[in-house]
Amino acid sequence: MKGERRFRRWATDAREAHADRVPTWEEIAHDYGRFLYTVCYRLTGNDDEAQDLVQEVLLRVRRGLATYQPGSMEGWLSRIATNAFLDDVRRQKRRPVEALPDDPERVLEGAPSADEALDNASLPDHVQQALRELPDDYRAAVVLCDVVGFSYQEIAESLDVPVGTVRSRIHRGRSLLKESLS
Amino acid sequence: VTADEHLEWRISALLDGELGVTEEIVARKHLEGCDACQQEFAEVMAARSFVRGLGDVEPPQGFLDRIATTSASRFPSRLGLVGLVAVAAAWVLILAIGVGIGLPDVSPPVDEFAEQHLALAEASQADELPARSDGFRRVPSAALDDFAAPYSVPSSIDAAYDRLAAYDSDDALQVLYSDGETEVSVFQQEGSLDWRALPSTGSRVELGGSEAWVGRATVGDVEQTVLVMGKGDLVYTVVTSAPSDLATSLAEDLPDPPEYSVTERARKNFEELGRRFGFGATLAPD
Repeated sequence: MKGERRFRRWATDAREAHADRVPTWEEIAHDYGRFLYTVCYRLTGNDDEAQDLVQEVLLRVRRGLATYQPGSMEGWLSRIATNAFLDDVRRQKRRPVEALPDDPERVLEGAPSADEALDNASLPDHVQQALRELPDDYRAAVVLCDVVGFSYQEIAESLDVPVGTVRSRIHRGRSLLKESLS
Repeated sequence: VTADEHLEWRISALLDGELGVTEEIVARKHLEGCDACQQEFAEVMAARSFVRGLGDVEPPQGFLDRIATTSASRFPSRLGLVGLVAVAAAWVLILAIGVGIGLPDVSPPVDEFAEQHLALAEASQADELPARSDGFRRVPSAALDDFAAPYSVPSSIDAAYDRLAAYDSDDALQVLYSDGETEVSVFQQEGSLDWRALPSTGSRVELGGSEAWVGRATVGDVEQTVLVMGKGDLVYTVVTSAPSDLATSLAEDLPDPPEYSVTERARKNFEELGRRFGFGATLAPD
């Protein structure tokens, strides 16, 4: 499964330990907490909301643990996190609104050179900021693909949308990212 | 797809190995002869690499331990085999030494609760309830009906006051209610009320068979009514800007806290025993 390709860097020991049984809730919180926090941080873009989302996911995990089938815990957690994130977005109808600077000259004054822009583009903070500015649906698809490592089919199943929609969201998301980082 | 069409979304699918065999052959053939697609391919590949190159994010220090502890103690849980064995041992120990261990004494911080209530009441009036407020974190709505004994968050009290939100801190659970005009906070703390810690001002009243303390707390220039009452294994603190008769009426309608199960009671007793005698015993529910 393509989705496994990046899971190897997460909690390898935990995966082996839980390969053939359902882990307890505390084991999940302990062994996969860092992975879960990373996914939540990439989805929400800030620490406070990431913490809230981790809590929400763990609550859903607690309720759904009885139905969990031993397999990819990271995949299961990522699906729950993404759906909880999108549920929250829809419920609150919130979009991060970045205030425009009062004085547009300020932006022009500090505009980096082409070389600086290239260097800056690869800085994690710039990439995270560009990711955060994506529309929520695009960001969810990009995070599931490039952070979690899901295949398009897995993303389609997670988000309950056709594979064609996944292709489109990922490509549009990346196109916006390249514009934002260029 | 034909070799003459620009690749567009196929660029990402090609990078991700998500094109079928024939599609990929056609796409690569087009790419060889199309400068525009080659440039876009390079740019999209760079954007993709940047995201994939993002490292792990370290959670804030203690965050994971904190949520595990908070959730384990506040949210429903079941005891596993290890827990049951340990609980049995705890019962034996408690029975053996013949000590009736009570719950911890609770001293509601009346002024802090009044301040916390006022902040949320004003936020509610502005229709902007925050995600967190001075050490209190908003409880996800999906979790509101999932609190374990003795906590509970009824969806309404006294018929007219509907639940707006609940906030959780290390020391207390706050539930905010409103009838559309007046906000009321009901704070819940697990334990037995320590009367000695209450302000000397205020008065004791009889309330539905329980004794309650009613007083005032001033935040800035706003005066609040505060009512404190022990009920079962909970200490309720009701705060509102309304007069004390409303606080009394609402407090009378507060539910008797759900009782612990026998095993949960044993676990609590054992933990309290450990706390008092310094051996730091905890029995983590699974």
